[in-house]
Amino acid sequence: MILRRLRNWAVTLLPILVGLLLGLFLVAIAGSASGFSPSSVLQSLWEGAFGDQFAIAETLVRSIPVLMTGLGVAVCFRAGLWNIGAEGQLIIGGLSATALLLQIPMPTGLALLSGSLAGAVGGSLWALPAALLKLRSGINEVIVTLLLNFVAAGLLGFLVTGPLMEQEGSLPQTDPLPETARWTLLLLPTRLHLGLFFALLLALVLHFVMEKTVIGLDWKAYGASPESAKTLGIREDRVIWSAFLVGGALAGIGGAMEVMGATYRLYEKWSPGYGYSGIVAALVARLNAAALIPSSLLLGALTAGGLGIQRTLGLPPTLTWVIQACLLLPITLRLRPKG
Amino acid sequence: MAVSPVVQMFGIEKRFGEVQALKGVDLEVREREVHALLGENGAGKTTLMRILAGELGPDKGTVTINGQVVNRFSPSEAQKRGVGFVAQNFRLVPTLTVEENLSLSLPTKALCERAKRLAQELGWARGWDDEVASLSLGERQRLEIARVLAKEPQILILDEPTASLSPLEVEGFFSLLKGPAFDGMSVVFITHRLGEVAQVADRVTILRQGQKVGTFSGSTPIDRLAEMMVGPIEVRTNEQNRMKEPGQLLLVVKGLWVRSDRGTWAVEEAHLTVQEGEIVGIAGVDGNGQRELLEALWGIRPLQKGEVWLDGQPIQPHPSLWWTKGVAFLPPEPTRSLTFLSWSLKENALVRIRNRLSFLLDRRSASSLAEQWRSTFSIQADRIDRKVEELSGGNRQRWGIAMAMGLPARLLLLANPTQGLDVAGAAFVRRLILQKRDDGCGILLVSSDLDEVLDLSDRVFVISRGRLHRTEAKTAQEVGLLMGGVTVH
Ligand SMILES: Nc1ncnc2c1ncn2[C@@H]1O[C@H](COP(=O)(O)OP(=O)(O)OP(=O)(O)O)[C@@H](O)[C@H]1O
Ligand SMILES: [Mg+2]
Repeated sequence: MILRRLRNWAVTLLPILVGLLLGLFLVAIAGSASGFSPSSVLQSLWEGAFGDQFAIAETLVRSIPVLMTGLGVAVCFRAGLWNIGAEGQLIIGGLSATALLLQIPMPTGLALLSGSLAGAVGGSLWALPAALLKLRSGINEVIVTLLLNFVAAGLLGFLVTGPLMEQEGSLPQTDPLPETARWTLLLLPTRLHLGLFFALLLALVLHFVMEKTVIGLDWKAYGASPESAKTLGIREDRVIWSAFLVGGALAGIGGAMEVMGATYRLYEKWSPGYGYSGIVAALVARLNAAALIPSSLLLGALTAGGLGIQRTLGLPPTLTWVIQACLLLPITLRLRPKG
Repeated sequence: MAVSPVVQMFGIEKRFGEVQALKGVDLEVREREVHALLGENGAGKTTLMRILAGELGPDKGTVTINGQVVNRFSPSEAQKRGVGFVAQNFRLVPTLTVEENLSLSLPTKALCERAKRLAQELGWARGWDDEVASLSLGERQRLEIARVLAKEPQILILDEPTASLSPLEVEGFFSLLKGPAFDGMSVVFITHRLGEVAQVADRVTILRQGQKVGTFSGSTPIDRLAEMMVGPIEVRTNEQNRMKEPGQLLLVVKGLWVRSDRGTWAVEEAHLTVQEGEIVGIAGVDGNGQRELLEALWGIRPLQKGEVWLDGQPIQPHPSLWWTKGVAFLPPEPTRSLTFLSWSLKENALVRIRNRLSFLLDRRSASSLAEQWRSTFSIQADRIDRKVEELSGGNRQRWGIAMAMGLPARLLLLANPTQGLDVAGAAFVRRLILQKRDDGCGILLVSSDLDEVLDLSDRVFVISRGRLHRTEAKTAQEVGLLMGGVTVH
């Protein structure tokens, strides 16, 4: 029994380890092509992620939006709906929260709550067209969600240079959120904030929903076999609506958290691709909400480490996307078409 | 006739985890013979054939094809040696068209053309651009056989080719098997219908719980064969001892019109009633609108015209409504559209009881239900956390029946319930159907197995090209004519 457990763990973790090592190897090679020794590249990557108190806090902060978008992605993927629009849903969530909180001054508790809610609503709205078009016209959700990512990024760019641009100064960014609309910092002087625990709580709640409730079962059953799910009385339209709404809401809350906890304002290229890292994290966690906690930590560390190699070596932080892609490689190789 | 063996398998052993599927089996297939392979559900027939076809490697034992020992087991290797395999669970891609499926596995245009010609010889009557999902099981069977035949195999393996065919189609298939398309081939042929052995097989090998019982002449009497498979059993069910007269009207179907996936009329103006405690049978060759009729009744296909009434009230059919009203459905392909292949038996049971739950799942009830079904329906699985896809073909069917019939119901809609079941399994299911009827359950039995319909039903309809005809005919011959579209007055 224990042996079987151990073997299961090994089978689960091995592909992740292989992908990680392959990715690190490739990044080291890329670094040496630019004249840095492989060891210095790996070292600054490590120090960016775990080197000191700041680095660790940065890793944690960046894993929050990854976790939230990952949860949203996991819900949809479990239902067999390929929602790759977490990035757009995150951006719109951040935008909705910012717009609301900049307009209406509120006391702290209320501000955090309504900011998160605005994020959830924004994210859901951004996922809605995919559900609607899939149900009405059978249009593939991949295309719709992907397109909406670009629309969201464009919208953000337009708003921060236009209607939402800061009042004083002329940078393409919004005004900062008022003090009352910010998550409490936990470990001054780092950026670590209380939103981390809120995100962890949501992950556990979603895990409960997935494993213990009828709606979670419906999502998984529809994802496993839409025909059987329909025959057994699961309503296709409800599954598609609810999965996209919940998935969008989670990513949207992630966006609200990022602006209320870490950046306090929006600007162009505000998200370094958290929504895409969320997809990687969700797949690495095999769409399990609880397993998403460690996997988004890994992705958060890679994002923070990428900033490390930029700061100390001047290499582009996007280099760490090579590692993210490598993490997916063994997983996608294992996904065989259903017979 | 030459009698040199083309295939020799010696001492084949195969294990799946803790399950020992084959325990040292020998098989010899001679040149140009039709060799039947018999055995209960889970006896190891499919596993043995998958080894011959190179899909699995044996743990122990040797396989010799045309005098050469096989030491690398892969499908392409086996094909090179002339083995063609028509699997029990077809390998067609349902979302692609017929044409696309052919070109997927046949590399050249010439091969595709040959496959099409063969399909036509086998009685193909559909378009090449139709989606495979819209084909009936019998049609898929034909396509699969044509696809494999196109590669001109020397040894052809057919895993339950007649399971989804009606008696007339079986006759046609057998005359082909003896005809020029299969000339010079050795055929290994798996079936649960013992009568077919005498009709076509030169020799027959019987497996029992992963071991070989023996190889016999094809003319061995049926009851001898059955006895060697499982020991003595009663094969036929007895319809006479009915307990109660039919009661209240349960289901009324009024003037139902349903479209097929292609948009043509699949069901035209169907009228039908089912009372408590009666079995209403619908006999027909697969693909005459049975699937569409059942799907429309079940609420997973739009009904264009007509009404459905339950308990004297018109209702809008929907699966969750039916389940909560105590109506259950065994769809035509339960492994694809009732069960979750990649899930454990336990999790499958959990989905089956979801309509009783409001918010939280009840895993404990699901587990005990799965345990209960496993023993009641004699499902060959050592644990309930085995996945459905780990079961043998017949055991998957049994699991589907358990999902449909394992909980109390007032009305049952059943499609081909005994398809792919061994003799004992089929007898069990027929007894269960009769027992449900005696308990007052109304049953709509749709089957391409004529004898089954005639044996069990109180009233019989024949479906032909989407039209239902009431018939008083009592013999398989008369009804068989009706199924072919000939009207007997
Ligand atoms: N992939 C698998 N994983 C685990 N067990 C398997 C697998 N395939 C087959 N088995 C087991 O091996 C045994 C033999 O199965 P097999 O499919 O060969 O039976 P069969 O004789 O073809 O039965 P049927 O008449 O039901 O098709 C069964 O107990 C089955 O559960
Ligand atoms: Mg089999």
